[in-house]
Amino acid sequence: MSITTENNEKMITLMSSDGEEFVVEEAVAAQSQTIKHLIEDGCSTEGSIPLPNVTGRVLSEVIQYCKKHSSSDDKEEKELEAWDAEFVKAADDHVALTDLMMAANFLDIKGLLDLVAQTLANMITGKSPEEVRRMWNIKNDFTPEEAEKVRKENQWAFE
Amino acid sequence: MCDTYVGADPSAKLPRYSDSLASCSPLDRIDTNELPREISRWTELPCELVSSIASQLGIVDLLSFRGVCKHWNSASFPASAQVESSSRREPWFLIYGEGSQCRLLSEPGKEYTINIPELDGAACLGSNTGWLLLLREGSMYFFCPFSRARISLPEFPRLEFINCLASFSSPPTSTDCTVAVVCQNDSSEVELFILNRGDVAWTKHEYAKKDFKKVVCGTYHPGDKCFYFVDDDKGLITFSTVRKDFTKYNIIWRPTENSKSEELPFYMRRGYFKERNMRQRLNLGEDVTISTCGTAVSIDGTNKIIFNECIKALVGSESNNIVPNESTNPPPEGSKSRSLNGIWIHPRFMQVQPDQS
Repeated sequence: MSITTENNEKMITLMSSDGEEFVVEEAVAAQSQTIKHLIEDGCSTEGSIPLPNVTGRVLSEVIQYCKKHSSSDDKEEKELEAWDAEFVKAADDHVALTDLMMAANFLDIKGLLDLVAQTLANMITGKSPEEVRRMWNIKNDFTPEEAEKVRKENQWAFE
Repeated sequence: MCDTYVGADPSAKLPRYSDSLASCSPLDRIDTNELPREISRWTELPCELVSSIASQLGIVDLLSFRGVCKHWNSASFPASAQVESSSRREPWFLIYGEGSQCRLLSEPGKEYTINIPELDGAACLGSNTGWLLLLREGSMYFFCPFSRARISLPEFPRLEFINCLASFSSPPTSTDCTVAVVCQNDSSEVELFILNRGDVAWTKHEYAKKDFKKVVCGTYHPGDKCFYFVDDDKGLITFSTVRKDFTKYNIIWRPTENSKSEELPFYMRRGYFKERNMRQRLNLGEDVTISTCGTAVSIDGTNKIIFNECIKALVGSESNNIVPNESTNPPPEGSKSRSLNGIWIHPRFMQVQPDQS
């Protein structure tokens, strides 16, 4: 589906995995390299672009990010950084961030991918492996031999 | 495990998204013995995404990351704590020389004790990009003290020399790596041994003129594909890896308009140990003599070369070595001193691909 607004901005419809539709300006959607290529290949003319790997909730967040980043070319970099910080703060649990990261990867939005990776990295910083496992409920699946090797590797860092 | 999840971490909130995860509320998790679904979530994360998180971490956090689970350990393979060696980062300092116990001072000033048996009795000839070039019991090898990765080199043809210093063009894991080792005997002759990645033996090049003094730093400049070696006076020799020849220069500090001069592609940092106030920061007694191995750093786009130094004990030294140092008063005779080695090191976690030779 392709609609044109009053100011001649071409609109694109994106459909999430759970059937939610989002109508956005092409310039916003093209922040995603994946969507940009789909548009270039003419996939958007016959209706909405289906995004089978992204749920509506995640997609609405991604679109929020793309809108901000497509409209703030002239703005101060610092203002955008502050906005990014607030944006990831809103998605502050790691499950939300992981979903966002998977979506950013699938949609190929480098800025968002880096932002989420940095946020997750910041959450790990200063924590021991056991603390990270507890925080994100990750199972320690090393065999005793592997665990010993890993322990030797990093024992100095946790004295 | 399930109740730990709910109780221990305030940030682990109920997932906000209406996908499959939302059906698994914290209460469900307390009631069931199964592990919460977030676990599978992490293992679902493709390797390249896990690796992109790992790439944002400094060395200590990277080690911790690698210790969390198998998936993270294998997926973080490409991460090497590069972020900590990037611009605006000064190198860390590693002290060894008394058994396998080493001390490591991070750039923020935190001190670690680290057990590195591979450094016991070893001489460090060069340090760059997280790799050390070590010589021990006649064998020469690259070694990363953080990952314990080791790359053996062909037998080195000279084992008796007075002074020896190495430089390498790129990390030893890269295909275009060239290693250059300068050896000097007491008559100041310079022998340069070159090894390209894939070579089975070293190639010797001699610089026969005796106008080059004790070599104190070496570096590689990709711009002109030359190795640069500086002595403790004002001598500089370059070795072109293309033309395979030496060029001798004199370093002048303030060129006059008439002098025919070129600008060096790097800044030189003599006396870096003192500049960083290392004796005090490491609480080294005044009886300690320390020989340091320098490195090259790129800070804010500026290349800086940190010189090798020998910082003599302020008291109690019996050493009569002729070395460049800042101690001007000869130490009183008759008392003992300790002798240690130091390395300026980039805190990188370097590994070797399993299929790499």
